[in-house]
Amino acid sequence: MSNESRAAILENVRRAIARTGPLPPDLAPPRLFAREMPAHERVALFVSRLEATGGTAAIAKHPAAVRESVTQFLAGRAAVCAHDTRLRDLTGIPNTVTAELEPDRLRAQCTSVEVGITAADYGLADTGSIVVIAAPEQPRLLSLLPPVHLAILAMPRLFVGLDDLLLAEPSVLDRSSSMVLITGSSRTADIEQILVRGVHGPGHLHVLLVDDSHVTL
Amino acid sequence: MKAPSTFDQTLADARLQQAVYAATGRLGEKRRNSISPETIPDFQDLRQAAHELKKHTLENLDYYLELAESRITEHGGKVIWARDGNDVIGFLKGLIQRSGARLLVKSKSMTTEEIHLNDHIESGAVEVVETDLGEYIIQLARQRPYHIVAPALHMTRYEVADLFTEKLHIERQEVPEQQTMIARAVLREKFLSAGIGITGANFVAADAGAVVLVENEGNARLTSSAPKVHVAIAGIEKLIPRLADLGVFLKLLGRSATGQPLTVYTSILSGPRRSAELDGPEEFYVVFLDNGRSRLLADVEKRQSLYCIRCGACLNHCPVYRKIGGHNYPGAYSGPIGAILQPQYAGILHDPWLPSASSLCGACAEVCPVKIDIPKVLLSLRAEVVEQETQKGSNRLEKLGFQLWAWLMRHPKLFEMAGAAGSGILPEGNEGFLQNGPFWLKQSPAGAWLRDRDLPRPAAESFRQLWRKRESGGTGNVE
Repeated sequence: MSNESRAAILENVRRAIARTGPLPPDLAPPRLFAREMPAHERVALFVSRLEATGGTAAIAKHPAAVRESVTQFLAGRAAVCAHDTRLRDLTGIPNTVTAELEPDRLRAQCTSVEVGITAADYGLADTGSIVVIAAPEQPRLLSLLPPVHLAILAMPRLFVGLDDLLLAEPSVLDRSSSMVLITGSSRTADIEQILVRGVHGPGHLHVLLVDDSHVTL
Repeated sequence: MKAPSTFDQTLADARLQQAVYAATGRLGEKRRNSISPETIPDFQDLRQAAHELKKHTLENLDYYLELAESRITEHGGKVIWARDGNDVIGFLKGLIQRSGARLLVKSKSMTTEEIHLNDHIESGAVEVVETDLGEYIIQLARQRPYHIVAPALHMTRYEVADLFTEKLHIERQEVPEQQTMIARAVLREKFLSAGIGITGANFVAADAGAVVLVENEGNARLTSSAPKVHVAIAGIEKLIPRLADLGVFLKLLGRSATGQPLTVYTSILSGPRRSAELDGPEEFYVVFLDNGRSRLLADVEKRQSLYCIRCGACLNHCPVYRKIGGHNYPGAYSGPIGAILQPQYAGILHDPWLPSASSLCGACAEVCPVKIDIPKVLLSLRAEVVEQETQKGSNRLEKLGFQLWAWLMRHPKLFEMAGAAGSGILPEGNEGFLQNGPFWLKQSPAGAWLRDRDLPRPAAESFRQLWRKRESGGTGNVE
């Protein structure tokens, strides 16, 4: 059925557009602008945009301060931390467990804790977004099922915007099945346009920016 | 050209009028605040860039469809080509049977509304659950979306309370926060036990073979991540050439729809989970749906209808939509964009009045993020309606009327006599409106026209009379 449909659709399309141009078609380069912005301005912009979406941010001035900042943020709440070398400093925080590597157990963990902790692969200052790329050590559901998402972002990975990221890393998508831009917390306004957070995803997004991360990223 | 009787109900429902007017007004205001030159100086350039990208993609659609297909296949996904809704349903039924899935979760997709997917798939054995909060509410209420981006825009929290109490057998809850949490709990179970997740696609980036989903709630992420199978249903017009072109569209879509610089979640999905990934679907299908689009593509002028990125801005700014609401439009798509898409998908004579449901004020074209000239397409569709009705002979009476009018206009003496006779039947003074004319007027063929319109009594002396006086050296004051 699909093969027959394929031929029919492509034939109809070709007839409709009456192609005359070259193949592959000529197309101007993508409209991507790299913007210069000093690191401290980038951080300030990121934090203000993130806060405008209802998210919160903290800054760890040194990698050694990450653990303390996370402990403080968790305040004893149960958490699952991604099984990721970038987050190895966080092992052993009370009430925080490392994510299971078996899918069913991982899912059970994600549905039973209060906070999911992941690394953020990139940050985008102009929208206050983080970019999370699925990987064996970064499962999709960890930033989605728990009511709170805590993301650790190394400052050198903070770009001005999506354009800058795509210019720097054009093949960013190649290594994963899923890349998601997260801008604030899950929200809806479907009932009388009243804003409610935490519909299906986390109701709270907290980003911890780490200055001069010692981990090679 | 008779309008359905539900129009009267909508217009008479003060509560509904207020709700639709307020909600669309707020969405419009949010849009305006988010596109100020201080916030985004190149907004108008972006509109032009998006328009040109869509134009280019459609002019080379065969190439980009095949490119996307090869990339999706390389990543381990599969493209299903569907000429119409039947092809989609056939594919899904096969998939359901093969996978043994009993429960399907679905995230908001106008394309699946267009082919009435739920009605065809749901049976005693198979359940399909909408997971966007607004869509879930209207699914429980057995209605169709009222608005492209806010499906339950017309309902109050009290109606939602009634609905949840009745359908979910729970204690009555009138606070939207609580209602949302009820839906979260019900739907969380569904996500975790569903066998198949169905989404639409806001964009398909051909060079990356990636489906892009734009949303705020997280239901599209869950639908595309939790079940073992993910099916993304994309109209063939959803393609964009490159992932690098996505930024142009993202900057326009969120702002135009809800005034957000970027919606909460933008998922870029390029196939089933890679070998070592722990979650994400094991099977990934992208359905390329034609359903009338290739036919529409053939018309170079009206082709731009396919540029639409479903932001809903034209609805929020349309004086007609804001009065008649979403349910008086016959298809899945309402508002100005519905008025041009529906006739082209369903056939022009299906709802011949639809292209005329516009004052041609042009607000839709002004706010459209991809610069679709909706009024121009509406006019072209109106011409097509007339042409086809003439062929069928169904507008004979109307034509006769206009022939009579034309004949009268060419005979000045008779025209003047008719004018004098016409004003003679009207009362004098402030009451001199057609509505207050003799009773038989409303029973005559003019009655339908008079239902919603009126005309004042012409001036006591006609222009011709004044002119003649001037010629014969009278007052000479023609105003």
